[in-house]
Amino acid sequence: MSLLDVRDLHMHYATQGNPVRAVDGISFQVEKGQALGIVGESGSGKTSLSLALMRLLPSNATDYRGQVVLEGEDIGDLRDEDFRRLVRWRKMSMVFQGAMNSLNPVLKVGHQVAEPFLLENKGPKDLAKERVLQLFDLVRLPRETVDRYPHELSGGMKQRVMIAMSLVLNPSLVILDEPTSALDVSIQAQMMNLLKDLKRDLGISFIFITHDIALASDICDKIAVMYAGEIVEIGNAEDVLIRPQHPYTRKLLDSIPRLGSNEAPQFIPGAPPDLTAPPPGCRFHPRCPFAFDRCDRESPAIITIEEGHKTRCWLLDKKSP
Amino acid sequence: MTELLRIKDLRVYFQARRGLIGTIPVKAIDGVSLTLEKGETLAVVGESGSGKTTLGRAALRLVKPTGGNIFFEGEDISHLPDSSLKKFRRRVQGVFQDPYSSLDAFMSVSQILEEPLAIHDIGSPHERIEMIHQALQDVRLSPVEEMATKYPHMLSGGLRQRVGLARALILRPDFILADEPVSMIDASSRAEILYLMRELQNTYGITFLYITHDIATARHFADRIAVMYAGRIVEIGPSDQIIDEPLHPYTTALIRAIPEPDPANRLRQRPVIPGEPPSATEPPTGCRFHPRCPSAIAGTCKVVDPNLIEVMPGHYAACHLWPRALQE
Repeated sequence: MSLLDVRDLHMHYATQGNPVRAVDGISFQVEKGQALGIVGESGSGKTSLSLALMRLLPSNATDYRGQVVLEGEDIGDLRDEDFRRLVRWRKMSMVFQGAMNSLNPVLKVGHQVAEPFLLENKGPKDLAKERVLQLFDLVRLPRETVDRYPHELSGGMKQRVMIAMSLVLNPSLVILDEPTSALDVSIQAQMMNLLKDLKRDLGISFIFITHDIALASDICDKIAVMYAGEIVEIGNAEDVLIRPQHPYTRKLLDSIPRLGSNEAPQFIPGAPPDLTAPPPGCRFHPRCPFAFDRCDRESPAIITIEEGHKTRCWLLDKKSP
Repeated sequence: MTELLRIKDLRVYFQARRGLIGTIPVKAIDGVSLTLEKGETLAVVGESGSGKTTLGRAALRLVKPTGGNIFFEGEDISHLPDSSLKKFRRRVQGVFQDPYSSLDAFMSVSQILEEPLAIHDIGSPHERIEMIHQALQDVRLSPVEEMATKYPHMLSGGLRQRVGLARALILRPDFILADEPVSMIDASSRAEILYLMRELQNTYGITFLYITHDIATARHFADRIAVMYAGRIVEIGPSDQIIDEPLHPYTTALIRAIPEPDPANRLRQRPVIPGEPPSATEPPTGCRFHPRCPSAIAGTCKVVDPNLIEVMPGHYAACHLWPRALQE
């Protein structure tokens, strides 16, 4: 049984006109102790997907539906209050994009990390302090950092604080939304090593959201490529990175400048579509160099390439005329 | 090759507040020398706090140097008063990181592009329209008549950055500073903007100073790369050589820190340098990289500040691993 099993998840945003179809029928599984990468351009819906999973719905969210099973329990059925009490932070936590800049500037960081713990456990404060020190060791922050204020810390240290905070109630799954995008490359590499250690030593599962498919390869066992609110390809890291099937995945890989080769990076002409009125048929067809007459008429079926490796593309439909 | 811009022992210090009344100098750039040849692209690569942005701003004389000189076509512009800079300003332009904040939201594309023409009093109204259309054509924003009427909020990040590029181009400058021009753009569109810059360079012979934290794009789009650390250039040379045969341990570390899309990455730890870049108020003694350097030589690197020396033709490094750095 998978740790997390998501089926046909939707979340749209109401606007004055058509709704924005930010999450439009997403299905995937995350296995225990593994990391799933969600890779896509800005506006592909990857952050909305994480909000939908955490049930942190913006006020204009609409058409929120689908099945979310976490550790065998259908958490989609829980009332909001129960979801907050039993799931959020306890079983599944999240590090938001740019979250390190939303630390409270007038509170010591150790106190901020302890807060969810104190809310949960009405026990003695010593216990909370012990837990915070344990977490700071875990994310390799010097213990005296607990008494520092956010402005005294570098970006990398603040991000470690955020990761410590996400772990305070021992969740089995942590969603990381672009956790390194504001950091310098040398600090980013340190952070990725830390995440790898947490995954290996504590068996924590991650959903790693990024626009950078190369960075995803640094931790993810499985990679899902999102485009215009849908997953267009999903599979093991080897499948997606070495044997990519969807033209969008291939183009995304070709757009990365390689240090080890003289091959010049490519680009994908055009821009992702407006999600209030996505193109008919395959949503990528206006930018796809291989599009044929079927692509703008019918939404592509999900095609299984091999066990666990799926894509949505008519080119790969063997029954295609 | 002829020299367009020469920077000699440039120093830019800022005063930071310390306590209620005290100030302390922040040495953003502390002794940088480099030369840009006409028509080349030099990438300046570094992490935050390395001084790369300040270097670019100094090259446009947007900040006044604390010390050292900047020569543009042989003329020392480093200490000219702002009133004498107008002629220089017409020939140098900048494209900046954030295409959302660097364009005025209340101006249409044609107004944005007309502003530099108005400031420098160039062309009749009819000629200006022609020039605006040509600039839009140059950056492939078509149909040009329609694009000219748009406002920034109607455009994606990539399109906005092309408007920024068109604004820089419209005065037909000799030199463009491109400060992180693609870092806020989706990875899938970055190469498009960079190819466009290269094409414009070939068409108009523009010299580019490309400031970036991304050594990978620098490899593909710059002729030479300068690596900056804590206000200094630690290595400079031809792009391929910098990547394939880095001479400075910091350059090596930067290269190793960047993942390529390889599924085997997840199974191994990435070799990293410990610690974080130093503070610009109190940089380390000797070589500024020595506290983080895996190859630091005891007794030398902490004490002696290494000079930038030519290790291979055109390829310089400031590192005691290259023994001549001590003597010169």
